[in-house]
Amino acid sequence: MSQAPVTSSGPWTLAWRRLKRNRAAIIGLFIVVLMALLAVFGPLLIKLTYGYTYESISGPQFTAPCLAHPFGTDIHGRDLLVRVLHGARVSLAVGLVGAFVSLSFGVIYGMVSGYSGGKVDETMMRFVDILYAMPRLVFVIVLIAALDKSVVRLLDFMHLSDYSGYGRIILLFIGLGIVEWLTMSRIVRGQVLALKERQFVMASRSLGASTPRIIFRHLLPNLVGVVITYMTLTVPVVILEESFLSFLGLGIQAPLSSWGSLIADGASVINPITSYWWILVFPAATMTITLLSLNFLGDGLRDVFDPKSQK
Amino acid sequence: MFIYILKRLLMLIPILFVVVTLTFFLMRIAPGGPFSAERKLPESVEKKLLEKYKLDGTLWQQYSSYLKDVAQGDLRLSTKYMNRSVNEIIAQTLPVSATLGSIAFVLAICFGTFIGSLAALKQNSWQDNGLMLVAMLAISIPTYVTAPLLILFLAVNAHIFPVAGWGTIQQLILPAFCLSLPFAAYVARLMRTSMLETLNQDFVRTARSKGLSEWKVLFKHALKVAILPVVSFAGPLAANILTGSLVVEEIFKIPGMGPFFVFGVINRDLFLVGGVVIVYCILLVVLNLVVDILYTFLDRRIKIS
Amino acid sequence: MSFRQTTSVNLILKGSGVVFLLFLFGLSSGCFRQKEKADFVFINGVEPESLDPAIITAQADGRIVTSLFEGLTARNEKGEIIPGVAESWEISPDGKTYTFHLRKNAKWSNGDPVKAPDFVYSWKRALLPETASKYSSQLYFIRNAEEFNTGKIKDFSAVGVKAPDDFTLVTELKAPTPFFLDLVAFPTLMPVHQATIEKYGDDWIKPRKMVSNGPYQLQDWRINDRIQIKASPYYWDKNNVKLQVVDILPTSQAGTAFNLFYSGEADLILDRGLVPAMLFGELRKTPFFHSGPILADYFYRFNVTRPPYNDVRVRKAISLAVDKQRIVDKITKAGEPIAYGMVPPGTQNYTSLLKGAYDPDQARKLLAEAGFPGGKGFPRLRLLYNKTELNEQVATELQEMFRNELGIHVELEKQEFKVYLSTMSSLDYDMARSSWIGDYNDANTFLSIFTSNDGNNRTGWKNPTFDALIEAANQEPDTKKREMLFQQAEKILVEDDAVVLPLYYNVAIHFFDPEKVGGVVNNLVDEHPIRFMYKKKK
Repeated sequence: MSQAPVTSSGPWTLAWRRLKRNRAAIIGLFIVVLMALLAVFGPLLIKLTYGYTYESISGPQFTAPCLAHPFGTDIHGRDLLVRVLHGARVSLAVGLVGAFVSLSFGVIYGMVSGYSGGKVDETMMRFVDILYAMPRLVFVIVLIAALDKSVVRLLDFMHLSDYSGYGRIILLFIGLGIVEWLTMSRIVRGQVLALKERQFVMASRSLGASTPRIIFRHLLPNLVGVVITYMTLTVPVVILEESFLSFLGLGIQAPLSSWGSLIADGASVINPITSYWWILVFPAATMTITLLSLNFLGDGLRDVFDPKSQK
Repeated sequence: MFIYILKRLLMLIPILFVVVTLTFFLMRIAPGGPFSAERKLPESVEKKLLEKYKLDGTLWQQYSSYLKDVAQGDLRLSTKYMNRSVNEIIAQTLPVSATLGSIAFVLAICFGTFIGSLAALKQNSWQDNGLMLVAMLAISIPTYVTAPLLILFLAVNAHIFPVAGWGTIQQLILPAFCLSLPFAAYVARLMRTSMLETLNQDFVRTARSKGLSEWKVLFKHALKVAILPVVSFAGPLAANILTGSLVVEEIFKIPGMGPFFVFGVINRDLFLVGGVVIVYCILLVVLNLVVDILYTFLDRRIKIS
Repeated sequence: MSFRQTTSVNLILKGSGVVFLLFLFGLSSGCFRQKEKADFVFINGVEPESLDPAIITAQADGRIVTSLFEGLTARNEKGEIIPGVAESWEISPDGKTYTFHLRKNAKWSNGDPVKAPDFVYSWKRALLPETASKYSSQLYFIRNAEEFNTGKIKDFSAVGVKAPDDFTLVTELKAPTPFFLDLVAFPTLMPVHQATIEKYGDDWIKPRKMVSNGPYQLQDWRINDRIQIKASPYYWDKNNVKLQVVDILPTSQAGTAFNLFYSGEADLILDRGLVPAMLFGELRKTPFFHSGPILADYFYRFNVTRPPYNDVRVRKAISLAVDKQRIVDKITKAGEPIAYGMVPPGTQNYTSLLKGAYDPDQARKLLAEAGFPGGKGFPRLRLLYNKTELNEQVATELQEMFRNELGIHVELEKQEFKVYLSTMSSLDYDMARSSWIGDYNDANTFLSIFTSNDGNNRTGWKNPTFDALIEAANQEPDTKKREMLFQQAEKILVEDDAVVLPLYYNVAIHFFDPEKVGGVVNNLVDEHPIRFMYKKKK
C-alpha cells in the first residue's frame, strides 16, 4: 500500500476527489445540474424565442416533431418541449422538496432515537416498524382524497387563489415526503449509534458539553455526507411515485405538467392504429436520463460517504 | 424460536389497530360519501342505506362498531359492490393477486440474482455496464409504460400472447414479466454489490485456488453468502410487488385485489379499502417474519460451514 | 446435514412450492369450474354494482339486468316498446288506469310460471325503504307509491297496484302518465323471484342461486373478470334468441378495451368512455365506429343564489357568449347536435321551440347593463366539473371564450366525482358542469328536475310559474296541450331565466364490425338488448 500524500486538505476536498474518480457519477452530476438549469430557465427561453407557454395552445393537435415544435404537440395542440421543461420544474421540485421533507422528519427522528438510546430508542424504532408495515402509497392516496378540497380552501383563505392549482403539489410534497422518511430515520439512527461511541463524542461529553452542542457541532457534520447521499437517492423514488400517482389521475393536475403526468398521457396514446410516439418518447427519455443520472450520482456519493462501503 | 414468532405476530395487533383507525377516519373525513350520486336519493332511502351499512350514528359510534366487527373477522359490506361482503370479495381476488405476485416474485429473485451475479463476475466489462444500464432503465421506466408497449408489440401485433384476462397459462406470462421487471432490476443491483464483496473474501479465494471453475465458485460457494442482502430485501420486495400489481392488474384486466386500493378510495368504499389494507398488513408482517427466519437460518448455516 | 440430504430437502421445498403455486393459480382462475366458450364477447363498462333489478342505477348494470329479467314491456333493438311479460294491455280513457294481461307461457328460469302477484311483490320490494332502492322514484307515478316509500303510509294495499288474478295486473296512477309503458320496461319495475330472495337473502343474485325470467340466465360471475350469461330454455321467446353463451367483460381502461377488440378477443364495445377519445378522428373513418344521438344532455348550471349570477342579465350574457358549434367540432367530435334547450330532439311527443343564438355583441351589451362593462369588476368565474378528459377540454374552451368575448377571468375547478357532487349539492359553486340522461322517453324527465323542491335541482332556483306549468302538464291528458305546457316551461328555464346553459345533446358510440355483428342499432334510449344481437356468418 502506497503512502497517502500528506496534504492539509479537509474531508470535503478528499470526498470530491474520490467522487471525481467515478466517471458515471460525474456524468450524472453534470446531467443533473444541466437539467436543473433547463428547468429553471428553459420555459422562459422558450417563451422568449417561440412564444409558447406550457398551457397555451400553439399549434394543431398531434403534430410530429418539426422546426416549429421540436418535440411535437399534444392532444390540445400545446408545444411538448415547453411542457417537458415545465415538467422538469415540477418533477424536480416535487422530488427535492419531498426528499427534503423526508429528510427533515427522518433526520430529527433518527437523531433523537439514536442519541437517546435505550428504551426511548426501542419504542421509537418500534413505531417506525409499525409504520413500515403499512401500505404507505395507499395512505398518500387517501390523504390526497381527504385533504385536496381543504388545501384549496386554505389557499383561498390566504388570498392565494391564483395558486390553487398548486394545492395538489403541496399535498404531494407532504404526502410523498411522509412516505419516505422512515428509511431516512433508520439510516440516520444507525449512523448516530455508531458515532455516539466514537472517541471525539465521548471526549466531548466527558468535558461536559451540552447535548445540543454535541448534536450540532459533532453529530450533524458527520451526518451530512450520508444524508446527501440518501437524499440524492430518494429524489428519483419520489419522482417515480408521483408518476405512479399521475397514472391513477391523482398526481399533478392539468394544465400543470410533471414528467409523470406527461408520461401517463403518453402511455394512454399507445394504440395499434396511429403512432403519436413523440408524446411518450420525449418525456420518458428526459425522465429516464435524469433518474439514471441521479442514481449514478447517488451511488457515487454512497461509495464516498457510507462507512459500510469503505474498504 | 416459538416465542420469537409469537412476539412478532403479536405486533400485528397494534399495527392493525393503527391502520384501521387511520383508514376509517381519513375516509370519513374525505368529502363526498359512498352513496352520493348524480341522481339525488330520497331521504328515506338514504337513511335506510346508512343504517344497512352501519354508517348512521355519530362518527365515534360508527368507528367503534366497525372495530368490533373487524375484531371478529367481519370486514362488513362493500358499498360499491352491493350484495357482496368484503370478506367474499377478498376471498375471490386475493388468490389471483397472490398467484401473480408470487410468480413475479420468483421471477424477480431468479433473474435478478442471476444477472447481478453475472455482472459481478464480469466486473467493469461491457457486459457488466450493459446489464446494469438495462437494470437502471427497468427501474426508471414505469410499468404503465412497459406494459402497454409490450402488449402492443407482442400481443396485438404479433399475436404471441393474449391481450388481457386471467385463467390460462398464456395469460400469466406477460403480466408476471411486466410486474417483475423493476424488481428484478433492484435485486440485480443489490446482488451485484453483494457478490462483489463476497468474491473478495477469503473463502472464495480458497475455493478458486482449489482449481474450481468460475461457475462452480459462484454458485456453490459465493451465492449462499452473497444472497443474504437479497433475502433481507425480500420482505419489502413482496410488499412492493403487491402495490405494483395495481397497474398490471388494471392494464391486463386481471381480477385481483390491486384496483381496490385506489378505486375503493375514489368510490369512498371504506370497508373495502379497510379490508384490503388489513390483508396487506397481515401479509407484510407474515412475509417479513418468514424472511427474517429464513435469513437467520441461512446465516447460521453459513457460519457453521 | 449431508449434501445429499440438503439437495432432497431443497427439492421437496421447491416441489411443494410449485404445487402450491399451481393450486393457487387454479383456485384463482376458476379452473376448477367448467368454463364454457362464449359465442359472443362484449365489453360493457366497469364491473356492475349489483344485478338486482330493484337497486341498480348504472346503465351498464341495466344492460345486463335487461338480458336476465323482463318486465311487463320490453324494448327491441330499435329501442321501441314491445310486449314483454304482458302480451296486451288496456289504458283507461282518463289515462290513469293500466290493465296488463300477462302471457301464460312466461316462465322463471327454474320453470315456475311468472304470475301477476310476482309483480305486486317486486314493486312492493322496490318501494320498501329497507330495500334502499336508489331508483324507487321511477315508481312514484303510481298512486301512493311515494308515500309508501317515504314511510308516510305503512300499508301497501293502499298503493295502486293489484293482481285480481294470476295473469292480470291493474295499476292506478296519480295522473295520466303517457310514458308509463316506458317505465314498466325499466329495471326497477322488473319482477324478481320471491322464493329465491326469501331463501338466500342478499346472496340471491349470485350464479347458481339467481332465478330470473328473462332471455338469459346467469351462468358465472367473477368480479372484474367476466360475467357469463346463457340463453334460458324457459324463456317464452327463446326461439328468437340467437346468441347462446355471452361473455360480458368489465374494464375501466380504454386501452385494454380497444386492444381486446382489435385483437379479436371482443366483438363489441358499448361504453363510450372505453373508446379512446383521442383516436376518434381516426376511428370515425373505420367501419367499426357507429354513433347516434341519445336522450341525454350536457349543460352547465348557474348557482342563482350567488352574486353576480343571481342577475339574469349576467347569466344571459354568459350564455350568449358560447360558441357551441366550436365545442362540438373541436372537442367532442362525435357529431353531437348542439343544444338550445334542455329536451333532446326525438323525445316522444315533444319538439323544442327554442332557437338560441351565439351573439357575443349582445352578450357584451347585457354584461355592461349589469354593471360589468368589458368584464371590468367581474369576480373570477369558477367552472366546476368532475375530472374527466372531456369535461376538462370543454371547460378549457369555455374559459377561452369567456376571456376573449367578455373579459371575464375564468378558473377551472376540477374535482373528483364524489367531491364534485357534494360541492354542487351544497351550492358551493359559480357554474357547474352537468349531464342528465332521461329516465324515460318524455320531456318530463328533463324538465321536472328543475322544480323548486326537486333534489336534483341543485341551482337554488325557485320559480312558482315553472312549478305550476310542470304540475299542470303532468295532469294533462291531451298530448298536444301537454306539449305546449312543457314548451312554456322550457322557455322559462332556458331563455327567460337562463338558469342553465345547454351545450349539446349526447351521442352514444358503439364499436363493432358490421360484417360480423348484427342487431346493434343506434337508438335514442340507448337500449341494446342482447337478445336481438347475432353474429353474421361469412
